[in-house]
Amino acid sequence: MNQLEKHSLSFLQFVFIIAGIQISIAVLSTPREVSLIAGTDGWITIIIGWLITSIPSFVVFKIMQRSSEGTILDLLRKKLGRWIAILFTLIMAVYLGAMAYIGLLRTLLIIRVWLLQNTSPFVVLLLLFIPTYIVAREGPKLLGRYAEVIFYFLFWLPLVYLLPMKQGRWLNLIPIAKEGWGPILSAVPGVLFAYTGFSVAFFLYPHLTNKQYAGVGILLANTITMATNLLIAIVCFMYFSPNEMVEINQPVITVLKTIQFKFVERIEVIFISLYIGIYSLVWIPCLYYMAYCLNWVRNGSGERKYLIGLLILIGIGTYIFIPTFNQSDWLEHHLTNFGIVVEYILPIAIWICLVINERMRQEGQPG
Amino acid sequence: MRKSMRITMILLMFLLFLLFLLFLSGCGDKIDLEEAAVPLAAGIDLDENNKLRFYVSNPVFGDKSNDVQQYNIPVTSLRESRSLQDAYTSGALEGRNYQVYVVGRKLLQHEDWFKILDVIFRDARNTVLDRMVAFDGPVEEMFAVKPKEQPPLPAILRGMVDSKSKRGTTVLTTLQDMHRQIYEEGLTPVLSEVDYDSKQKSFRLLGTALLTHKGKYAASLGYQESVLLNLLKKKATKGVNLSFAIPGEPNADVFELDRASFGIRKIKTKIVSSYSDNRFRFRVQMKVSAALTEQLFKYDIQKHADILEAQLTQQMQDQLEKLIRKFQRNRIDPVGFGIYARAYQYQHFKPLEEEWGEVFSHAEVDFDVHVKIISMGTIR
Repeated sequence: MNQLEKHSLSFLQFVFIIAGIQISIAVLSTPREVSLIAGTDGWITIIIGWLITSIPSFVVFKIMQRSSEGTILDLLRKKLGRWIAILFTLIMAVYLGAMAYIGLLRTLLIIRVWLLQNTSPFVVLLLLFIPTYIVAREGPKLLGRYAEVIFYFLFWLPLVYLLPMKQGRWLNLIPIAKEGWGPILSAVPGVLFAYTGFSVAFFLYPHLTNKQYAGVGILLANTITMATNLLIAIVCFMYFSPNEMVEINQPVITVLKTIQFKFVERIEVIFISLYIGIYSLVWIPCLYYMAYCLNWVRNGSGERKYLIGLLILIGIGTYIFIPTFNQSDWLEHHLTNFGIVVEYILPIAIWICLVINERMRQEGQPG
Repeated sequence: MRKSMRITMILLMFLLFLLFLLFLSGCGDKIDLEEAAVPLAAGIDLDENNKLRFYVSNPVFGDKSNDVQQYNIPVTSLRESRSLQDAYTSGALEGRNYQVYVVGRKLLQHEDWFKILDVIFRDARNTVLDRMVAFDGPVEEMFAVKPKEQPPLPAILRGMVDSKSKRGTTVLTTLQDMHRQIYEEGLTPVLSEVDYDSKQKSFRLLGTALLTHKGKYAASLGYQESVLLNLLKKKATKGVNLSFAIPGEPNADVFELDRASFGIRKIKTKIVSSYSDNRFRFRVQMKVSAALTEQLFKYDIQKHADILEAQLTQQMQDQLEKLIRKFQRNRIDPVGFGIYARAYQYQHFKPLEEEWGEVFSHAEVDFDVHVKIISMGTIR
């Protein structure tokens, strides 16, 4: 209990950690991904994805309501047994590790293409590790503060996209459902990736001061993510014609290249540098919670050892081999499927198990 | 306490180590300003043997302030041209940030020339807001001109395009705009057009060059036509000027005294599209609030404003219709009627997307122009 009080999170910090993971994991890729399948109707897909995401988000809240203290792992051990809890923990550890790795990888690749073409990604990675370690070693409290600071600093960033909007054409967006609803719906699984990350609420919940608002918090985070993605996607669809959209690798950055100020050229360089701040919101919490999961399985004394181990592991791995853009796309594609299983199906399965478990106990007691 | 200090020390050592690493391997693309050549204008064209040529103009920093170095080099691709250009300069060529990008008329006679510019968009370090200008004539001629007592070539061209496009007499097309226009099916590209007036020994803005969808030169527009095009594209802001000859007004001696000009205070353009009888139909409504700026004939506006308005309306409508016929003859759609067709008649547009220029040449465009004079100036 003492530990929990020390690491208490305010409502906004809770929201920002979740929204930070969601936005940073896919903000650059979502507009292109949806446009590949759904064309300029992709914005509808983003809204549908948001509606779908509300269901497992609420389930996560329902599950955590059963846990007065301790994270999901403690709850599972108490209700469903030690082995199921360990299995779940390992799945979560692998999943969070994959999220963190993809986030880091994307950052490195984008820095290499847009900012530092001749600098070794390994050096960049080492530089990124310094703030990562400093923030992650302190646990949830600092994670919350860090996310809050980044949000307050950068919440204006999406608004910059209103500048190229002036040159865009609303006519690109109509007619709605050009090719029918088929493409729009078939793009939905891809867009769910943009919302993955809400399952850290499993771990954050016990630290939250006002627990009754946890459900609202997750939904609010989803909504922030949805609004950001929607704004940026619509600007991209308006600015690029439907045929051009699929020709460009990172429309979200390319569209910034067209902003012109008298005093600075290549304005996108500044924005990509700021994006690194947003990106850090995915790998820092994910690495911490991966370390937390590993520590929990071994009943270890602290996450810090595991954190250092993970950083060293990623560092060595990156030194030896850096995936190309295509390989990272491939990884992202598989992570999307993995994410749908872990974040959308697994919570519902756990919830059903818990409910059945409770029913059985209730029936067992009177009899 | 001591433990945390130790960790801090380790971190500090680590930081120092990283700093050294940076000096070792980072910043490999660093160039000192003294060693850089900064070309401000680039041009591509075909020479008489149909070989691609690349032109650059470098300002020479030093005592002779207006001096420029100019080269023209035969190349096969633009990226390759970088090393070839390097061979001619004293420093490392920093060809990322041109002010203007000139394409010659001869190059524009061929389709798909735009694909040569791939390197500009692929390499993220390049700027994409360079003004793109079509030169009516060989680019070699343009880069051979050494304008005395005038700003250097890149500055002249950029200034010309920027200021004239604000008045609507040409279009402002950056490299990125060109990329957008090429990929937009419902639109054909436009560039600002410049030539060299050898009598005045000066560059001159001609108006607008219209290209086909694949980038081949199709036609040119003069000032007034460019203004009308910009009005149709809803690109013209208020303050553009139009000038018409009013029929029936007498000319005196050598002067043409039948002219009336007005500045546009406010304009509302509305384009409605429809499809019937296997044809696309567009209806363009324009409501113009005009302020007379010039009227060379005598006329009592106070009493007969409506007659003058009707005549101006008629003239404007005629010129717009002529403009559309010019587009249709050349099978181009610089206005972007195709975008309206895609938005409102998607089912009919989609199968014809690839050949929109051809389809548009059979379309019917009606005008409904209304000019209203809201001010006649300070004299009667």
